[in-house]
This record gives sequence, structure tokens and C-alpha cells, in this order.
Amino acid sequence: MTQSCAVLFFGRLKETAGTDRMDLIVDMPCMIDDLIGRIADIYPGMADALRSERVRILVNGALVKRSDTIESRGEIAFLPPVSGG
Amino acid sequence: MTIRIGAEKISAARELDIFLERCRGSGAIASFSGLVRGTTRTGEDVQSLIIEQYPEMTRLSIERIADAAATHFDLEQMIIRHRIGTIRPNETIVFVAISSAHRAVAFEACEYVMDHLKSRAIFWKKEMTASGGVWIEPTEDDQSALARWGQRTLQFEDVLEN
Repeated sequence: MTQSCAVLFFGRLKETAGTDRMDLIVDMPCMIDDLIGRIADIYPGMADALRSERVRILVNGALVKRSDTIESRGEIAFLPPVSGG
Repeated sequence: MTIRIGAEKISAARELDIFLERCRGSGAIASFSGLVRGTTRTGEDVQSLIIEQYPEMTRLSIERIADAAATHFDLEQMIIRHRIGTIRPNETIVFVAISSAHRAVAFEACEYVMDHLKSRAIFWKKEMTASGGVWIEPTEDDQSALARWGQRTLQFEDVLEN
């Protein structure tokens, strides 16, 4: 089954991609790492940045690993190291 | 507990006045204001600091930090204000004030909140100079400051837990 996912980039990842958001049509279920491959097809140069150990990935607000699988449509966010204050 | 995240300027003096009114009867109030520095670590003039957020998750992360502070310290009132957007040197990025019956708790809780805001709150910070922009990440000092809280230190799983 194909479903739409919103992919969000923040901080330096947003700059690398040149956008803060993209929508992808994905065959579900889909492993996060495969999704990264799809993104890298569209934005060459993003693969290494998105697979960095320092980048955290949230699916619908929950932390996931690259080996995890998305079961249905949702929001996938890639978070580079954070810094506030 | 009050948490406000927004692009509008923060007047620490006004925030503190309002907070003092709310805290009548408290024995101690500690506050912290974080300002944009005028120069980078390498000595360049800072033009501005740009702070980005992931709105729902940023708010959640600060709520979790505030909840943890309220759990670990005997607080009475707390306010956390954090700016987003473009901020100029000398302007306030963050304001935290905490009231308690005694000063030691107020000071310690204020440090606990700030140590977590630096390295656990969901913000991205870019320092702009004439030569371009640099994304700022927590320093080793920031990491050490966070680690000193031991078992009370929040991990990312803790601040992002719905």
C-alpha cells in the first residue's frame, strides 16, 4: 500500500537539503533507512548527513532508529544536534 | 509553571517584576538571563543569532525539563521564556526564574533548568557573522554541566516522551 509521508528537516539539514519539508509517496511498511535512500535520490549529498549517528529521527514525535519500520503515513523529522539557551 | 516560546523580545526586568508579583510569600527567587554575545569564540563580531524550533516538540521538551525540575526540587513557581527567530547581540535569548522557600533550592533548580535548555531543549542555533553562519552545538562544558546532575540528568528519550 502506498501512502504519503511528510519529511521535515531542521537546522543544518534544512540548509543541506535547501528545503524544510518534502512529501514522499512510500510503499508501506518502509524501513527508515530505505526512506533515507529515497530522500538521497532526490537530494544527493543528504545520505551521509541523514545517517549520521548524531542525527535523531522522530516519527510522529517518537524517537526511532534507522532500522525501524514505518507502518503508515506520518511525519518523519530529522533532527541534527540541538542547542538552546 | 509558565512556558513561553516566541519571537517577541524579552525584557528580563519586566518578566522579573511580573514574577515577583506572582511569588508573594516566597523566601527566595533566582533568575537567569541568557544574552546574545557580541563576539564569537574566534573573536568575530556577531551580527545575529538565529534560533529555529520544531514547535510541538520544542514545547514538549521544555515542559519535560520544567516537570523534571519540579520533581527534583522543592519549587514554588517557575517561568521559562525562550526566543526564536533572529536575535541581535545584547538581546535576551532565554529568561528563567524560579521561586522557592530557600535560596539554595532556587539557585540549583535554575541551573538545572538552564543546563537542560542548553543541551536538551529542541532548538537549533546559528551564529551569523560577516563571514557567514555557523551552527552552534553544545560544548564539552555544556555536556559536563548536564552530566553533573547524575541520575537526574534527562536524556532525549525523556524530553521527547509524549
